[in-house]
Amino acid sequence: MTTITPQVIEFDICGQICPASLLVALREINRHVLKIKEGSIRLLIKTDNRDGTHTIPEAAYNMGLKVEVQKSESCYVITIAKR
Amino acid sequence: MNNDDALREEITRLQTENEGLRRKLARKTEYIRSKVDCMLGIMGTLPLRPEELDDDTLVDLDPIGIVADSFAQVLSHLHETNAKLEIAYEQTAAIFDAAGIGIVVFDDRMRILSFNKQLKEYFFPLLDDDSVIGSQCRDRICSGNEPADGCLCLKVRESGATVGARNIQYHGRTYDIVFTPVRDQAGAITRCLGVFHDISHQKRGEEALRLSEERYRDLFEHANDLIQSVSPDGRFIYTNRSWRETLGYSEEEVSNLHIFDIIDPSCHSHCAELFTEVMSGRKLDHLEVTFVAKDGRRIVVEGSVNCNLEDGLPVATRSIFRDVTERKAAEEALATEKEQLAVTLRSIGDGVITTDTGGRIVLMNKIAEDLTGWGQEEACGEPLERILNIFNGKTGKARSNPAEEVLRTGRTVVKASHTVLIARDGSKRIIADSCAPISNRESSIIGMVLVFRDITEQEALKANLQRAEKLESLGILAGGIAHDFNNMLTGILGNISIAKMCATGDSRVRERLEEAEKAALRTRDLTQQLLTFAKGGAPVKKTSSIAEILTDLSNFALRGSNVGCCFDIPDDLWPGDIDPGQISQVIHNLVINADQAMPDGGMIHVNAQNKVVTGRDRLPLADGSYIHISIRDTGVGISAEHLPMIFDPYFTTKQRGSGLGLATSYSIVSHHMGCITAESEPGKGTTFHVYLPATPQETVAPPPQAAGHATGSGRILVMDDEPMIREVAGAFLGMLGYDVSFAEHGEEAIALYREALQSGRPFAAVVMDLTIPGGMGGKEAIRRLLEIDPNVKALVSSGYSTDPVMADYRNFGFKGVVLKPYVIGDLSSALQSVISES
Repeated sequence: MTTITPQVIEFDICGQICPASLLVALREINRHVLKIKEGSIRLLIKTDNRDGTHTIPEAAYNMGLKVEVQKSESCYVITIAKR
Repeated sequence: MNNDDALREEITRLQTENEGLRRKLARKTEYIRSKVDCMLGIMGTLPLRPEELDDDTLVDLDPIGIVADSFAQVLSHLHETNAKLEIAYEQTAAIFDAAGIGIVVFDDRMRILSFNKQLKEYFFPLLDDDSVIGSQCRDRICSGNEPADGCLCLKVRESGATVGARNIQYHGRTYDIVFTPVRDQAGAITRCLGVFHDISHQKRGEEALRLSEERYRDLFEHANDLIQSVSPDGRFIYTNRSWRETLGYSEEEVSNLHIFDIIDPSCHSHCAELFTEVMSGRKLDHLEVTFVAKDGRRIVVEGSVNCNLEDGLPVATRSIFRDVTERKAAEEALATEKEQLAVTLRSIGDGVITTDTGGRIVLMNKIAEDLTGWGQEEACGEPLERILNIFNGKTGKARSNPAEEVLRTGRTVVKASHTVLIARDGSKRIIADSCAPISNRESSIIGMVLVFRDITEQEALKANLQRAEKLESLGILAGGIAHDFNNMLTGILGNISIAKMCATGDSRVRERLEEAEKAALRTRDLTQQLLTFAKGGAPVKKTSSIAEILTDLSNFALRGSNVGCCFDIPDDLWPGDIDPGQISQVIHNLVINADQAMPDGGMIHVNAQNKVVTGRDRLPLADGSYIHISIRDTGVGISAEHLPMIFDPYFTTKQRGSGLGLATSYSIVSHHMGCITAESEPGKGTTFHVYLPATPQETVAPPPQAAGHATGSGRILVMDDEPMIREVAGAFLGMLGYDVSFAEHGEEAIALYREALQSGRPFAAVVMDLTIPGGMGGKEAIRRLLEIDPNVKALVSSGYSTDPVMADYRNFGFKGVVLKPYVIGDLSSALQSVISES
């Protein structure tokens, strides 16, 4: 069995609030969705908007992706990866 | 219209158009915003705020495109999920139907929504599915027979939790039932899932298992044997009732016991090794061990032990033991008893043989071994008749097998005598035997026991005794008449002697007188023979050469015979302590018999040898030195039938025999403390064996000078109650020159002797009759005479040659002896001898 180490693409949307942050996150997800589903890319979205920690994961989950939300010191880190 | 107007008009138009376009744009932008907000609403977020995105940014950002793309992704994912759901549904439906358990789904009003095939088979196999769907569960499932603690559906609704019930019986089946609530997204219980697990088969299996286990447990618990199972660490896993009762432990106590707690310490070391071996898989089929009960009793058990192994590892031992304590004690007692019996049997002085019902030897004791010459080991299993070779000693015929008769009749058979046993080495012994059946407790004959005793010596003693009794009775008779007979013979012989002396003229008269004298002398010999074996016929013994007697007498007896004689007599043959006259008579008799046994001539072998007799020689003699004489002929022999009787008085097979020769010989030898035996084989010859006491340390005295008819002088006193004797003795003594006085009895003799002594004319000698009927005899008279004159010279005279006084006269005070009937020479020499003695 071959294990692929995914490329981590990180982008920061701190300062943006929903729904703008959601649209930005969706745009990035849409852009990489195929590779995320392949497992070759993993997205790390940093946001300081609390609503975004609900809307972004729900949207990503409905799109068939695996989502994890972690709280860091200054923001939230939402990890989007292959389910 | 000018250009300006036109321009203005154009400007106005364009302004209007721009205004229109702006409004149009604004509407479109508003439209976009509203759609974006709508789409964001679908996405679950807030609508866009104008301050967040201005119109240009909104258009540039293309949120509709973004959301549309995301929707496309969501839709795609939904399609995939739907496909998976479809598959999952199919799989679930398959599982639903394929499950070995019945599954039913009810709605909140306990109506059946769905069910699987197994449930249908359990509860309504013949109904259409459509008729079941929507029906009440109690109509199809429990039919009113709800579990004891209530309807599970209701309990689910009430408790909101999964509930179950076990061993519920529906339509002949037994179920374990589980009811689980199914909730909607709001968490409300909208359905209930029921699962029915048919455990009927399992229950039947369990029941069968329980019954089987019960049977085995019953078997184990009621077994009389001790059954135990021990774990590898030595703890008891199981013990049966008999085990616990025998060892006295309760089940609770057993659980705290270790295997070595119940094994006798003396067996620990051995059992520890065995336990290790059993745990390694060794099977012990015949183990004997001693257990120790709770109260300390020692219990000997025997049984088998093996171990249940799984993947080569020990799980538990399986052991079955039987309490053999009593049996062991009985065996030990039996072994002890057997040993005692064996020792007793071997110590018994009689021969004992036991056989089985086939007459085959099972056991022999030591005496039986000695008598038959067969050892127990080699005789065991052999037929009795092969080992016990017996025949009738009287008839010479083989005797019937005693075992056969006993086993056939079941009765004891006693054979007292006449049975002769031929031992393995050919030696013969007379035996007395008795056979008895051996019966078991059921009185069935399981063999026989033969007890036999060597009675050879006893028979010989018996024969001797019988012979002695015959001789004794004859002796009494002979003794009774001897006195008178000899007195009369003395008178006859004396008168013939006197008549011969007087008949000097007529030779015919003298010849007749000599014939008469010979006849009288033969009569004396006959009387003498009778008296020899009469009561008290003690020989007058002295140390004598037997070799001389053998040669002289044998040659003398065979003069004129066609039978020769050869001697085998060693030079150093011991002298015998014998009465030469009597022994001469014996040898004469035996040689004459041998001669007569060989009418056609032959050779007599006379042997003599020194013999020291001990108990091992099995001879009826005291231990000591003897001379063994054997006189063997090769004549006609004596039949086995006659052989035991040859020493009986008056028994003879010869026409002219008196029947006294061998009887006399027997009596003489017996009185010498010797013995005489005979062995004979008809047609081959006879051998007589004579054993006489020897005196190895003594020497033979020179033969006495022959007494003559010497005359004498002096006074002789003759005491006899018989006038004829007094007359004859007076005549003899007168002829010999003596002066004779007579007395009829002792008193008179004493008076005469005292008178003569006092008168100064004493008697030179006194001749006294030993027995005076009704008066004082010689024995008393000599005692009185010795008181008067210690130097009295007295002769004792009697026809009772067997009287002890005659054999041992000196001890009674006499100086000599003269046997009646006597002739003048006998009296002359006896007187000479006495008178000349200083």
